[in-house]
Amino acid sequence: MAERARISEHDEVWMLIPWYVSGGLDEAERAQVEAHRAGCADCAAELERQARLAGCVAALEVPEPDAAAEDRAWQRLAQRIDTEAAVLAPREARGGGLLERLAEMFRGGWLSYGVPAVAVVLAVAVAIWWQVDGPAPKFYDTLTAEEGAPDGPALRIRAAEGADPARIAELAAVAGFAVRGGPSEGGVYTLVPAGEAPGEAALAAAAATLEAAPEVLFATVRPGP
Amino acid sequence: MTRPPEDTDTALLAATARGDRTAFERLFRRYHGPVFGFALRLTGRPDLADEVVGDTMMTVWRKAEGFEGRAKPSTWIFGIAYRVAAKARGRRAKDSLHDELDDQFPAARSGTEAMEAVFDAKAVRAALATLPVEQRATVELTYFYGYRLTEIAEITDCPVGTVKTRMFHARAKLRALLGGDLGPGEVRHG
Repeated sequence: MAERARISEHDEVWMLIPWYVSGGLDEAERAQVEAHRAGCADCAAELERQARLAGCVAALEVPEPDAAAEDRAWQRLAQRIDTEAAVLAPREARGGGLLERLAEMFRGGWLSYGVPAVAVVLAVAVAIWWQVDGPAPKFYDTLTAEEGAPDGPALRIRAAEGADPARIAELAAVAGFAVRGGPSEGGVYTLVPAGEAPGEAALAAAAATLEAAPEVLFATVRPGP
Repeated sequence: MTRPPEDTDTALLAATARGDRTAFERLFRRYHGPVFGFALRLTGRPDLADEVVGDTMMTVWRKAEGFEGRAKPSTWIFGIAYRVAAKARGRRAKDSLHDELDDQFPAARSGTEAMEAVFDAKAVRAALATLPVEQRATVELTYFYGYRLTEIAEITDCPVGTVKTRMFHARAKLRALLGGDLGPGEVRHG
């Protein structure tokens, strides 16, 4: 019985050793380790070993981002927040038509985002022309269809029944995408980046953002080749 | 250093929850470096770490209202970063992580130090990179960031017993890879 209790105590202390070394235990646990290690050579040796490991891990440095990287990261995030707000805002609550909305974007300082903002605005214009006046290629039947797929990364979305193609184009544009194809008979659109190809995480984030819009049922990422 | 009440992480989070973009930017800039470093340790790739920072802080912006103050703000934010980084790392093959780690991490100490110490750092870095992300996070949160056992359980959203078990397996694997000879050690607050 006493032997079993001793083994149990040993196991408990063994598990706590890393946080004894790092100072992350409460008073009672610390006392438990100290009381046990005095009579346990294995735990005393493990304590030394973990202290050495802790020293090595603590000494491993990683590159730190500089101020310019931090500024760029903030600009990207701020733009993402604006995009999400634009996508999530109910259409009626925003008032006016798309032209008014675009004018509002200009007045509201979208130009401060520079070239990407101009690209997005141009994408809106092109996408709307395409949907309203131009041909609407219908070669994407499912979210995973590969035939005729674009060369680079893309998003595929399934729009809610009766969703206005112009509204889909607008949603795509505020997320930094342009309608490349669709809608198919099933309401599937393919969207391609309006500017530089985003990374996987950015694609996933854009898909999630679009999916939050009531006009979009599903959004999936098709990574580039 | 004590911050004025309106500049604490808790106050900035509360302001963020009210949609205060200025407060959120201040919080972002305060956590950009720490979250980037944590993500880089877990993913091994600066480009992924950059994305993790963006996704983490976007989640903070969206969910600030749900922060109830039961954990410290830093614990809450690191918890989000852990989940985002684990997902990002899951998208990458482990082998490519090893290659990138050796290329991009600086040596532990500057060039005039003994070769042996540099070798130790490389060996430890390589050994850490073989750990599953939940074990790697446990080791880093314990030995680099100095989080308490209970805080690591909060960050990684699991019971304290699971944290201990993850560390137990990490220790066994690191010992198998590195042996016991890692140079002189020091108990911080024993």
